[in-house]
Amino acid sequence: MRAIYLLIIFLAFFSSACTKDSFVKEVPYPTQTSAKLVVVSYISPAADEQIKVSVSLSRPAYGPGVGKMNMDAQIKDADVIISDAAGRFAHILWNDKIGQYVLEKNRFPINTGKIYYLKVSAHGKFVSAKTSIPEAILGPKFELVETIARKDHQDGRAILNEYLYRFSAPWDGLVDGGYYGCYPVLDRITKYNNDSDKSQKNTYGDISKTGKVFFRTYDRVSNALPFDHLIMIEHTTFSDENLSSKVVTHTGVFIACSKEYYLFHKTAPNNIKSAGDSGNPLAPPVGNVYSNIEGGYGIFAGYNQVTLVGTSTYGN
Amino acid sequence: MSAVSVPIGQLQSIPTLLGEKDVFRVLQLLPGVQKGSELSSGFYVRGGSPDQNLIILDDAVVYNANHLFGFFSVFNGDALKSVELFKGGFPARFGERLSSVTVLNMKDGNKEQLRGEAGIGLISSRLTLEGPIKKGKSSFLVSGRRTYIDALMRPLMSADKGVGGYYFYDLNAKYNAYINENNRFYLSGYFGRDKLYAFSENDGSKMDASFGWGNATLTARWNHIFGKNVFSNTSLIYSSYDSGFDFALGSPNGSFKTGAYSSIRDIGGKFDLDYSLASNHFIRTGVRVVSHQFKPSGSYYDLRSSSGNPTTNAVEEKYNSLESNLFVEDDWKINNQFQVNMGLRVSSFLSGDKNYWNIEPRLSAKYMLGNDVALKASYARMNQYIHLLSSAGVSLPTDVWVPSTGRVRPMQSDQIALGVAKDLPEYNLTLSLEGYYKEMNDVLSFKDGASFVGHSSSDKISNNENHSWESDVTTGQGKSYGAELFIQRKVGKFSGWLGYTLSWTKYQFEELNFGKAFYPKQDCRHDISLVGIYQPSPKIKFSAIWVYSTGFPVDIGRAEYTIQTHSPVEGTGAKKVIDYGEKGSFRANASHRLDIGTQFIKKKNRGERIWDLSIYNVYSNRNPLMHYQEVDQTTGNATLQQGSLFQIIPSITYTRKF
Repeated sequence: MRAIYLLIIFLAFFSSACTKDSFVKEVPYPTQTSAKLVVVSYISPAADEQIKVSVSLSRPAYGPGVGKMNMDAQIKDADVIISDAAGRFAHILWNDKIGQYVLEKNRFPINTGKIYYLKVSAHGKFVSAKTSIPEAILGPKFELVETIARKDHQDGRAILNEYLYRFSAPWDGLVDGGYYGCYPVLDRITKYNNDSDKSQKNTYGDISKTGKVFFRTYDRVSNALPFDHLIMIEHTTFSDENLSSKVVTHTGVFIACSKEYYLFHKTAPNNIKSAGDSGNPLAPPVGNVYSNIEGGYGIFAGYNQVTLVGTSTYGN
Repeated sequence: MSAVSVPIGQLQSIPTLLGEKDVFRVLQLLPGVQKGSELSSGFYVRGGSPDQNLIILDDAVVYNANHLFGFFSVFNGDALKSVELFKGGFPARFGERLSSVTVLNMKDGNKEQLRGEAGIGLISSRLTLEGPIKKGKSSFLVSGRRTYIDALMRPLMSADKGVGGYYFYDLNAKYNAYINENNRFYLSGYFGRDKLYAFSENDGSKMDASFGWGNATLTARWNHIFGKNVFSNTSLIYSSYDSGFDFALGSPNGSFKTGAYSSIRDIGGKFDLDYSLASNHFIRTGVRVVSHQFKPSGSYYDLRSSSGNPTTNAVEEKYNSLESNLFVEDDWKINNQFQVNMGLRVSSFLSGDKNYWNIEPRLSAKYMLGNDVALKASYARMNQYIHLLSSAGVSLPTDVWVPSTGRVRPMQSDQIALGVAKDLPEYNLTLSLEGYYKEMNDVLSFKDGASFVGHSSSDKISNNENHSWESDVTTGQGKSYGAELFIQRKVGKFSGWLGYTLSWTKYQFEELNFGKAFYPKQDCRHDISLVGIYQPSPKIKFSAIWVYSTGFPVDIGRAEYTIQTHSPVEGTGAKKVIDYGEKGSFRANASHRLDIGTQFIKKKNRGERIWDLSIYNVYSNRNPLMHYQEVDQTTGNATLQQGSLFQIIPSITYTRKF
């Protein structure tokens, strides 16, 4: 009988320790700073006809009512000024239609090799940033190396198509200490060719997939070899699809980017991906997103989308 | 210096978690050794990460010393003869890791009579048998344990609704032979495994899934005495660790099997020669060669249908490397005041086309001031050629061992330590105070957000061709310094110790925290362990542990904002971003708890029986394990919540020795 009494006592201990409240408690949070301005703008000499700037507010992670603060809302009454090293400047005005601050580029040209400054003030806060436009990449090459179609072992209908691309460039086509990115794009286009009904003669992207890689010339292993990088994109089709009306287009894009652009794109994806992982003790450690906005958050980054390197067509 | 012998007797006496007497949870109570978290029996020594700890069982390296995802270590206290921990001042015979060496030796087995010990606990039972094979000449030891929660739950489950469970078991065995006065031989082995499983059967279809991991070691050792002053030890050693999952579906129409795994396997040999120049002067030299085979990732699938050809595929990543080292060690008590242990170790690692080699000088000296005060100093350089990819920051069975390569250099550390020790024989007390400074170079870490888990080969290729684990890691520097106080009473009715550590650890990686130095998870400013064992009579024993440690650095969100990402081919998109503040700048609450235990011991006709009652975390302190943000949807109030693991946990264990 003594053993039974002991067992009951131990079960009572266990049950008292196994409620949800006993495992979780509220603890003091770190000192919170007030909301900061979040400014985002990417500028390039060619890729866009407009200079666009987004301005919003961050929200503290903890505190009374912070969950109700809308961090997506754009601030419409900010004073936004872009300038260059020569002292030229222009105000960028709010555009209701686009939902950002917009300036036509013909009013403030963005040129390769120049440094640009951005100043934003709103709600009694002031932030600033600077970036540069890098030299374009010279002599890049893009090719579709291989296409492999594999049957999916779990779904007999599915075919896994692997597209292997090569990006290459001579090192002397890159600026020493420069930052670059390359993007292959796979677009499968469905064409409706109904001559009797012109309204159906449209084209739309059925699927668009892209892989990307960023690299620095610091990372080069040898000067003797050109920059040479392979990227694979996977895309699933189905054996019972009518593929005859579909065309797959492959596009390669090289960009030369500022250090700010590079650091932002190296650090942002993992932070964004892990934003839903908070609290998981087994989640990998995550770092902050790079920001060059003095006094706030965000990014002001220049890039030079050099070339649409090549386009090839591949039928399924 | 910087070495501690763990008294096995005290290990048997102190309070337990769920009735398991865990040698690693005792190691965590020593100064200089920090607990990882309640989740883990893993430990951090003088600022080093868990993979920088070399764990040797009878000469064989144990690569993953965790059962039950780290709650318990794989070492069964009943099978152990001795445990010794080196935190610094490493003799030249030890190397291969930066931060610590733990040497565990199994019992040899009783040569005179059959002895045994059986125990029944809340989650497992254990049995140890030892005795002579040929009386006075040879002996054996067999010790095993197994958890049985799965077996107890089985009657409550039915296969058509799905059956699942978890168990671990381990088996230690040793054969020890006294061949003649000049030759001894032993063969010892360890085999342990954890398995998490589920299966179901419904309408002719079967599903079977399992995730398992385990170590195996085997050591054959020959001890030969050449003469009065020279003897040797020759060992052949096998060690392996593997983990993996398997999944199978079967139906009358076909079957499908898939799985993934990783492993490390060592085959090696070791030869040590000890030469006694005089009663106060010993020379030891030796060589060790190990062939490592690493399989960081492998996977397979097999699809068969009643119609059509089977589809199968298997891929595997494999590395072979050869690690070797040569050492010479001179242990010389020059006079009654001065004793020195100096040595040199040459280590080399051949991995692919890359061959690393390093010279590791070692020096440890002791100077006696009077009869009972010793001044100590040491210096040691260590190199570590293999690395553990542990993306979650805690030890998990999915962690993967990888070699140094052309791109990933070996890690290296230099450590100096100074200390003073004093005996207080009138109180049966030993006091020691040590200070240390350690620098670590080429320390390996995953890049932020990188994870080996769930990162299949095809995922890597599709994101970035030429991508391997080498692209996911980055190297940096670390330094750790601090002071350790240890006051121990080994004998008497009241025994135990007080350990206190004051320490700082900082890491700096070019690719982490934007190149700024930060406090890693193992940085712990104050760590206190108080252990007391009181035995008023042979029939009863009381014990208590109180531990305290400063909160660990943790990255929690400080602010949130929405940002427009940009791609020249995909345009912009709004994404939520979290600002974590300066890395390591926020600390969790301090951890502390009190454990108590009582043993009721009764002599029997043969042996004794022991009832062991333990209460873990008596005052039910909620120690931090994890943190997350909670937002009240009605008010918008956001709070920081801390999750804990173990509240008060009583346990009872019955042990019968015979």
